[in-house]
Amino acid sequence: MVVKAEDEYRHEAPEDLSAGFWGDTLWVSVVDREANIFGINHFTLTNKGWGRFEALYVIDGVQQQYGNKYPLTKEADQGPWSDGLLTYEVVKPLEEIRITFDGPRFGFDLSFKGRFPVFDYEDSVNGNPLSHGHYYGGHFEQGLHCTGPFEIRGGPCKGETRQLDSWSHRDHSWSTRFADEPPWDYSQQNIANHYWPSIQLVDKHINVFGVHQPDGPFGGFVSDANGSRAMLSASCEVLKSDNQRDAAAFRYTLEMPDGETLHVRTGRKYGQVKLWDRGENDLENRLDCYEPFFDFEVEETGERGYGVCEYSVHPPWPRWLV
Amino acid sequence: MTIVDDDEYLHPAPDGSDGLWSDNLWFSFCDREADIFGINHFHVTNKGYARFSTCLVIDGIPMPWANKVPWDDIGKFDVLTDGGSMTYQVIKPQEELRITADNEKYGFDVTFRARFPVFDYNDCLGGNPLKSAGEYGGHYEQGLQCNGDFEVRGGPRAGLRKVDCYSHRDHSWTDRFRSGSPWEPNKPATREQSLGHYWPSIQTDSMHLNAFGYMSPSFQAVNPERSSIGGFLSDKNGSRPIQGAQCLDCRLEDDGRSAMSFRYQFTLPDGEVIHVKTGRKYAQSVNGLMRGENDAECLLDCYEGFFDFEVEETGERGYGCAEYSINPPYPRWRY
Repeated sequence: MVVKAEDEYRHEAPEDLSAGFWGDTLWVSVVDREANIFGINHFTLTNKGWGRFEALYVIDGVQQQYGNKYPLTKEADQGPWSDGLLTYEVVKPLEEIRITFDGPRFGFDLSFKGRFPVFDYEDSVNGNPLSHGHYYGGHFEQGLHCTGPFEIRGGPCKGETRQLDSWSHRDHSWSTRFADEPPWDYSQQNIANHYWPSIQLVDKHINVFGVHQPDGPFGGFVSDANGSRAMLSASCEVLKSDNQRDAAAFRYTLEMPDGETLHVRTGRKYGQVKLWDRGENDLENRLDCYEPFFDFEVEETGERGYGVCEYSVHPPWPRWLV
Repeated sequence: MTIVDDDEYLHPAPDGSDGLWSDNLWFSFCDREADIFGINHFHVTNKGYARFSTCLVIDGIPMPWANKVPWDDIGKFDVLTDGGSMTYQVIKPQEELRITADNEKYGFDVTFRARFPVFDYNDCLGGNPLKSAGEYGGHYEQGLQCNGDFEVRGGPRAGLRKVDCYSHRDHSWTDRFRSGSPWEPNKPATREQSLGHYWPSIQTDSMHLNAFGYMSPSFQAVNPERSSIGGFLSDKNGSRPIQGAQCLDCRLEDDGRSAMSFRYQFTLPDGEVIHVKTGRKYAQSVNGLMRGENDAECLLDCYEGFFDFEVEETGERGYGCAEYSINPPYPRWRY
């Protein structure tokens, strides 16, 4: 565990990488079944003088998405980071963050408090699995408890304010992701790439990263009464819709820190969004990274929970989003 | 209940009618252990042809098969078949049916036995709701137990599997797809307007629940004087009409067509209100070839989603098929 309080803020690129594209990325989920509100808040804070601010939601089954590219200081700072509407603030490092939004269709003021301690992905069983793709300064994750008001400002429930009270999850990376130029040309295919679920249960939170290709990188952790500890291994089975992009169901085989094997399967699906993953070119889609929201059930115990089943399909398609 | 044993066979068009008329038989596979899901469908017309199809999903992979062959014998049959690739037999009317298939990718020989008595849709409280959409000679349904052998003849898990699951069937004789389609279909302005009918078959150890209705509040019946909602509950007390049903939530993927989940409300025969929600989704298929006399034009996108189900009030769990449709059929032309 090497994550420090200052890691909650933006990071300067290492000197030898500072001329290229570099950014801090913040990802925070909202999964509230009672309020019928699901979403991902996503922030990409770059060294190029701008950030991307995203609030990607499914409200009563209908997608409502907000995104904005907005100036930032090139130098790393401690925030709060805002485009004027969507704001991320570190309230108490490693323990509490706050995200607010004041958009035309919805707005919220949400507090996210740690359910469990932060987990440093460097402490994964084989080190940080994300470092296989490109340079990572660091990456940490944390199971959270989300509370606060969420106001709906359009549609059939316009004017309604719902109180959120649900388990959530976050991560924070600082890396060279999307700095490399992608290939000149590629064809449309549907290749299952990574899986990265956040499984929230009454007494624990499980998070694993892996890829569908054999011998690929693996990492992740379980948080429970004993703190946050590295998982030993995992694999993923996925059922896709006919378009080979939308996931209908997942089943995970998880080797826990003590060697016990659990199987977790998805139940009901509530919605799905896709991240706005870009490098410096606003028009080029760099990654089809999907975020579906599901119920979960542990097959061995019948324990039930909920969360997010992040996954990606290669290559990003359509590539050009004009 | 007016279903007679002869209704298991084929029905001639009403006197004076020379338009398209057909018997349609629908049988589900929903075997979670064998990982085989789908619909077996027969569409036998008064126009000298019949369509046979097995729109199955095996190990998550769609594996549909279909054939169209001449058929002129409307009435009783020993074996309904396209020449051997697919057969249908009534072993014991209203109690036991048999379907076989034999194609390049798979073959099966399964028996469907009654879990519960047949329900005549004319016994729905408002009469047969299907008559809100067209002319129906009759329509009945039945919860079944399906058993038999299923041979997978390709792919990574080729081999013989045993099928042993709850199943469901229906049988209609109707003028469906007789009327022509518009020159250009109406395009719904909203997602809600694109929602067509819902028709789940929910099987638990104690019951089978089936309901038909329309999801969109803006739905306009062809025959507005007819009730457009119906259905029944089969349990230890037999098969009885339910008092009401509503699809409270149909959540679609970004394609606007694939369903990720449903939530229903049912008012049971004794007035009790229950809510049933889908859980895990196993597969999605279609309800046979929804064609009239033009093979190239799809006239209905009737989807079949296979799900776990859970009764919210009791926690009782089961599984089955959540049929639904999205308007208009798209792509319209399939050739």
